Amino acid sequence: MHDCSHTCFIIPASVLRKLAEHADAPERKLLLDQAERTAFIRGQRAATGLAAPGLLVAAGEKRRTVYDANHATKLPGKLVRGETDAASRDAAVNQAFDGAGITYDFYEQVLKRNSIDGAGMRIDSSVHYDKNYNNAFWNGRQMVYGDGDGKFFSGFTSAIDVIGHELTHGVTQNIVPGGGLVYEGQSGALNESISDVFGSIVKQWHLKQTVQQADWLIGAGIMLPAVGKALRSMASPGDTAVTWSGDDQPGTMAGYVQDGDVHTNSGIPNHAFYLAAMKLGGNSWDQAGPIWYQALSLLHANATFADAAAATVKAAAMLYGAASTEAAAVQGAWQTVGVA
Amino acid sequence: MRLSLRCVGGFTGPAGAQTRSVDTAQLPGAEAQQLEALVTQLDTPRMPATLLKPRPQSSDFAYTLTVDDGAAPQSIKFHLDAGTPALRELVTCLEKYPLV
Repeated sequence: MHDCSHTCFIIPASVLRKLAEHADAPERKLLLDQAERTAFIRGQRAATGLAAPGLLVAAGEKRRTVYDANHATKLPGKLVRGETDAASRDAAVNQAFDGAGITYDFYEQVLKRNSIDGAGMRIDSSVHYDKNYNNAFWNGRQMVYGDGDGKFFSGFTSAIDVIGHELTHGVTQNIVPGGGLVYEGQSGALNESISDVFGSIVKQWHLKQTVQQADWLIGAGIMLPAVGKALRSMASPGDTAVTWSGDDQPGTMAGYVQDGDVHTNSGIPNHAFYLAAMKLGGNSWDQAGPIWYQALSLLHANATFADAAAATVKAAAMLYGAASTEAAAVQGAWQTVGVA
Repeated sequence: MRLSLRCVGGFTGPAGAQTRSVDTAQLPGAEAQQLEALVTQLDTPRMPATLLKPRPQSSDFAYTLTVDDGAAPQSIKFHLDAGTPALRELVTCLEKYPLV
């Protein structure tokens, strides 16, 4: 098949997906990739916080910069490490640098995605943000890490899934048509869940763990041991024995919290992914991950859990066939959590 | 007058909620006057309960400002981009104070 990676942008994503249903495996992959890029362009038009001039680099070129906010809140801070610089004496700088690189490599090697925006965006990170800051976040343009207060949290750069989680917010913002998933209600919980899903996959891919070997914890090691082991569990949402005492995540719709925080109800789609990945076995990045990734371009800004279930089942059918064991595994997972 | 600012979002969400609280009576005169002037601009008796973006993104933190002047405390939940200039300036000023 000839390379039409540029000219095919004029074909609507829905048509490309339809064509993919009748194509053989290699061609299907190419068509679906083009559909995703087409959806991305549409998303770009509607998105806020687009990549600023100078943040784009040549396709396939990994470009990371790390800044030191020096415990203030002004961003980005002082440049302390660029792509070709030697390692810093500051562990947080190196962890942010390495974590961004692992996440970039995962998206590039496994999902054939060129950085966060699909167009080679430079990955900027700032460490040592504020004093006693118990958080890490993607601000629409860059990563920001606090050091924790030393009482509850001990820092965030040491956990690769935290870095994968936050950078995936940038991916979601760029892929989901309409500028990303609105960060409230079920669409907001989906936004959080997608970041947990790919944060966990990035960790598993880095550690070369099968779904059976993975701990399925989110944020393991960022809390002081006396406080807890992790912030969330995809295998057992709300299980304070494996997370921490404040874990209020439901794992099924029976526990759905009306008007709950997006970090609470994300336990439901998180568990659906875990169940699908366990049913499929092997490595999460081989089947379950690509299905969830493919589904992103089928969502919309206000997507519900039911929309996500339909999108992932459709993505599985597009990638593996409607009657495939993969599609059945995804369908079954959502049914188990009470969504489909 | 006591001002409290709670901020929720990011990776940790409510688990890592950040709160700053200052009592203007304990501040140097100029700092206290600046904060109280900004609160006056908020017009707290008529302040809405929320000023939220219609389509928030994951980068939008949810702030809650509580103003307690000794009578009934007033609170407003807002996103920074949806806040008034006075609210945004108050956030900038309050972020200079340590987290509690």
